[in-house]
Amino acid sequence: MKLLTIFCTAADNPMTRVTEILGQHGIDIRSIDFVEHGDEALLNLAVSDHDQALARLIDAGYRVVSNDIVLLRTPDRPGALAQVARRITDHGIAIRSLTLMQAGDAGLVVAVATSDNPGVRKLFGDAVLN
Amino acid sequence: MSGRDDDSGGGPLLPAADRQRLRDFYAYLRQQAALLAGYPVAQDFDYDELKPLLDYSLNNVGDPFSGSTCKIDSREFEREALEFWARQMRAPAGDWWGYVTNGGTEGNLYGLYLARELHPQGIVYYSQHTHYSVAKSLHFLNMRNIMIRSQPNGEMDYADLRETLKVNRDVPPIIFANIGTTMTEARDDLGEINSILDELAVPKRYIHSDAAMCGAIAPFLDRRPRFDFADGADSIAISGHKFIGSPMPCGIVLARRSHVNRIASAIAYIGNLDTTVTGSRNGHTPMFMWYAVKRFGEPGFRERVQRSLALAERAVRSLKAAGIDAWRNPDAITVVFPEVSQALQHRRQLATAYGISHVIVMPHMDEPYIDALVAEIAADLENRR
Repeated sequence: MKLLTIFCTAADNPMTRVTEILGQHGIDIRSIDFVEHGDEALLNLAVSDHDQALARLIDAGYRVVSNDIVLLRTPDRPGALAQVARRITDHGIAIRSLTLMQAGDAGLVVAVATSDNPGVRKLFGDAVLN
Repeated sequence: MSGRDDDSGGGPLLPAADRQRLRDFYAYLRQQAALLAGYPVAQDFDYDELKPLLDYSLNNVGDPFSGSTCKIDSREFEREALEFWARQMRAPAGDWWGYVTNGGTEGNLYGLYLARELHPQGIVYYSQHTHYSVAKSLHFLNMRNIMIRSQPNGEMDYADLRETLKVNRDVPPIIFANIGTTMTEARDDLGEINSILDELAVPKRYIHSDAAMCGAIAPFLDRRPRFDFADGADSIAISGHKFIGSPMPCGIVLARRSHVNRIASAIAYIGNLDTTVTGSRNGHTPMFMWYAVKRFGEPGFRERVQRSLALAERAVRSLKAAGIDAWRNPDAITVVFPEVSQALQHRRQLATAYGISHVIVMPHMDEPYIDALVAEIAADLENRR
C-alpha cells in the first residue's frame, strides 16, 4: 500500500488542514495516523489518489514524502547519516540518496531511497517511521 | 523588431488589446521591481546600448572557444567576460575553461556532471541548506549522495562532514560547497574542507563551488573567503542575474581545463568535442556579462559590494534598535530576521523558510530605501507580537 508522510511539529497538528485540502480535490483518506516524537510529528496517510494527494499537499507548502522513500529515526550525532548509509550498503543494498528531513529532540529523521526498500525496512525494524 | 526603446507596446504588429496588455505589464513590473527586497536581483544595470542586438538571433552554439560556421554569435565577447571572471576566481593560467550558462543551476549541473565523469563511483556530499535545485540535478545525473548537517548559520557542519567521510573512505568524495546559501548567505570554507580531506588522506576528490550568490561578491571582499580555484575548487558556478545584473537569467561556469579535456576525449566518438550542457546557447546574455565587466571592472564591482555591505549593516543595526533579532553572516549582504507576515512576504517578495525571512541588499538600494524597508519590517513584527 502506498503511504504519504507529512512532516510537521506536534503543535501544528495539520490534520484539519490536510483533510480540507484533500477533500477539496475529491481525494479520500483511507487511513490516517498522527505520531509525535517530542516536538516533532509525522502524519501518515493512505489515500485514494496517491499522486494527486502528494502534488496537492506539496503545493500547499507541506513537506511530504511517499513510502517509495524509507524514513528512519537515528540518533543525532556527527556522521549519523553516513553510518546509516554504511549499514545499508554493507547488506548489499544500493543507496540512491540519503537526506536529512528533520532534526529535533528525538533525533534525526532520515529519508533514504534505495534499490531494496523492503530490505531496508527489515534491516532497521523499529527505527522505520513509515 | 525595430529595437525601439519606448514602451509603446510593440507597434502595429500586435492587436490593440495585446498592446494594452503589454503596457499594463510594463506598469506592473515597474511597481513590483521597486518593492522587491527578498531576492538577490541587482537592478542597477543599464543595457540600453545593447538594445540594437535584440534585432539579431544571437546563438553561441557549442564551445565558446571553438570556431563555428554560424557568424551570428557573440563568442568573442563571451570569452572576454569569461577571462575576467576566471581571473577573479584565480583560475590556473592556461588550465581553465568555461561558458555562459542559463543560470546557476546549469552551472551546478555541469560541475556535477564533470565530477561524475571523473569519479563515476563518487558520492556527492552536500549540506542541508543547499539550494533545492541540487537534489534535482543529482537525481537527473543519477549520482549517489549524502546530506551533511548545517550549522545554525547555514554553513556546513565540518564535524559531520569529517565523520561522514570516515564512514565511506573507500569512495571518492565529491563535495558540493555552498558559497552563499539561499537563506543566510553562509559560505562553506574550502580550507576547512580540504584540511579534513588531507587529514583523512583522501587521494581522489572533487570540489564544486556553488557561488551563484557570492561569486560576484567574494573576490571583492576585504576578507576574501576560501572558495575558488586557488583554494582547491575544481569547478565554480556563478549567477549573472543576481549580483552582476541581467534582464535575462544567466550564469557563468568555470572548470579546470584538464578535467574538461578528459570528458571531451570520452565523447569524441560523437564527432563533437563540445561539452556544454545545451547545444544552442543564448548569445545575448554573454553580451550583458561583457558589458557589466567593461562598465564596472574590478573597481566598480568592489564599490558595489562595499556599498551593499554598508547598507546591510545599517539594516541590521536599525532592526536591532527596534528590538528585532536581526543578524547577518560575516561580510554578507543578506539580513536575516524572524519570519514576517504573509502579507509583507508577498508585498516585498521576501523569501521565508525555517522560521526566518530575509532581505538581500542589492547595489541599486540606498539609505532611504533601506530605512523605509526596515520601518515596514519593524511594524509588521511588532503587530505579530
